Amino acid sequence: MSTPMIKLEHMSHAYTDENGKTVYAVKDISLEIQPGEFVAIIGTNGSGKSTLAKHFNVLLVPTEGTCEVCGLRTDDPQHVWDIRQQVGMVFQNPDNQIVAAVVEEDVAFGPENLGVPPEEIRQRVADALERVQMTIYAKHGPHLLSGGQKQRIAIAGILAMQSRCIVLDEPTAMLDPKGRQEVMETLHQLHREGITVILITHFMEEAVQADRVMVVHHGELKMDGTPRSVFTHVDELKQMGLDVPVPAELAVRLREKGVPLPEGIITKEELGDALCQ
Amino acid sequence: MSIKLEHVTYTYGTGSPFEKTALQDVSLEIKEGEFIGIIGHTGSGKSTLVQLLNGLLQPTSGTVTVNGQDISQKSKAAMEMRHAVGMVFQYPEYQLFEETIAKDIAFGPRNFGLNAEDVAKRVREAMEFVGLDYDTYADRSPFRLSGGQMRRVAIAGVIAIHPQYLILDEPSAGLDPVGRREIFAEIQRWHKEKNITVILVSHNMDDISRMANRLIVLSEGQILIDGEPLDVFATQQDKLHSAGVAVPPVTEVLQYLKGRGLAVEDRVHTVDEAVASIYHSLGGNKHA
Repeated sequence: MSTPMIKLEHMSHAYTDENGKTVYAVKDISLEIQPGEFVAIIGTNGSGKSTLAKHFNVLLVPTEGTCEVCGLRTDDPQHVWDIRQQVGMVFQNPDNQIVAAVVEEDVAFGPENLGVPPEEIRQRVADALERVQMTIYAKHGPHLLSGGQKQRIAIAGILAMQSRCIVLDEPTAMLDPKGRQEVMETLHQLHREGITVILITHFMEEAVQADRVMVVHHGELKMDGTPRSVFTHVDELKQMGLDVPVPAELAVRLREKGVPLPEGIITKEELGDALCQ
Repeated sequence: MSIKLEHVTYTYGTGSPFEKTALQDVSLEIKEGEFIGIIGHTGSGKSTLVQLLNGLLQPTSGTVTVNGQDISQKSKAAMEMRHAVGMVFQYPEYQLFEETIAKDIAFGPRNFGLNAEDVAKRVREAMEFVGLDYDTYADRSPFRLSGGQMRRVAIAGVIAIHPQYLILDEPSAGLDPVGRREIFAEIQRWHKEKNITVILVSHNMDDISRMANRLIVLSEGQILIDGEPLDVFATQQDKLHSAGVAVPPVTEVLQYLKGRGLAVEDRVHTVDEAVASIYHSLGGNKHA
């Protein structure tokens, strides 16, 4: 069996609040994410999902338990740079993570810092831009791009570092529907290429597209399974303050009213198939 | 009482290689008491439009009047009318800067020349309005709050200037469903109780469909659609699609089911209404 991409064992992250009280942002989470998985993490604001994800590339280290990335423990300072090269992070606001005045220079920033030879950097940048379909914008100023395009540039920057895992913290929150679709299509493409994708999102339509959905609530991992197994728990999710995909909620409500629908409906197509036989 | 745009054109970077016309000959009247949703893809001109409404941008040609006053003038009357239009920018929590929450909220009213007593009253009232207890939070640092609470402080700062027109640019971006509902419940209450005109810029059609009584879709710097939201969703899908915007998720599912031959009513706002609509449509069906 291959080494897990991410492995947490009883991992917690605690901090002391202004009143001197110990607060757990993440509490006793154990999980494994295998190379090549597409995982969505959902949870309300303050649930701990971003704190959790920040452990994956050593922006934070556990206060209890362990976090291993590609078999390397994140609390060993020697491993920090190796891990950060393997796991790239994309944040919500596209304008906060672009550093250069030209798109291709921005994408080159990561490999330059890794000391990659110039010729190879060119190759990597060209390859990365092609994979996110931004080649024609290589010489553009990033400020003239749309939000979706900027996020794809941020993703290209990670690809140019030849990272094997991408963690995205609400990458589409500021985008219009078209930009959201562009980013999601890019993520599916990378997933097909074998890259591990970890997507934190408030959009349930996006979470449905993952292989696996994790639900974080009050710092704890409450659910972990396929979208179908998670999203059929409509009432539990609502109690946690989360939304569910509209077709899943419609199916459950209709069943409650006595309409004989099968369990496990989460897409409009499935709902249509069940209703219009 | 209204905000009126007459033949407004706005061009960025006139004379430079990056010259771009963001709005092209837009005429529009926003009447008192309306709740308007503005939608359009990135670059459609939404942000330019809302910044013209309170004088942050001046039209390249055409006029913007608030309650009959041309707000491009330098007069006192024009300034007062610009003050009547409050604007909550995207991610307003990044604009907090004061040491305490009360001081941050007081910034607007103090700059509008209110005396200390009135400023204090406005701060208290605005905090109450956004659901932050004055005694608990007034003297705390805004930077130790959660993202959702910080956003409330930022919104309170705009509400404290008592705008007659309130513009919100993506106020729910990045908030979870509960946070979104709370913020919008407050905005709706403000709209109803004080008869404030609300102009909501959002990518979230769901929010617009539930709250707005008028939907404006911008595309390529022009108004593509202007109508009642449910009417628009029901009758102008092709135009919406061409503008790069989507109908709300509930509508999308119902329209899909309708396309598959189910006799559902797709003019609904909520999941509950959708359930009723589907249930009703199954009335003569073998399932029921």
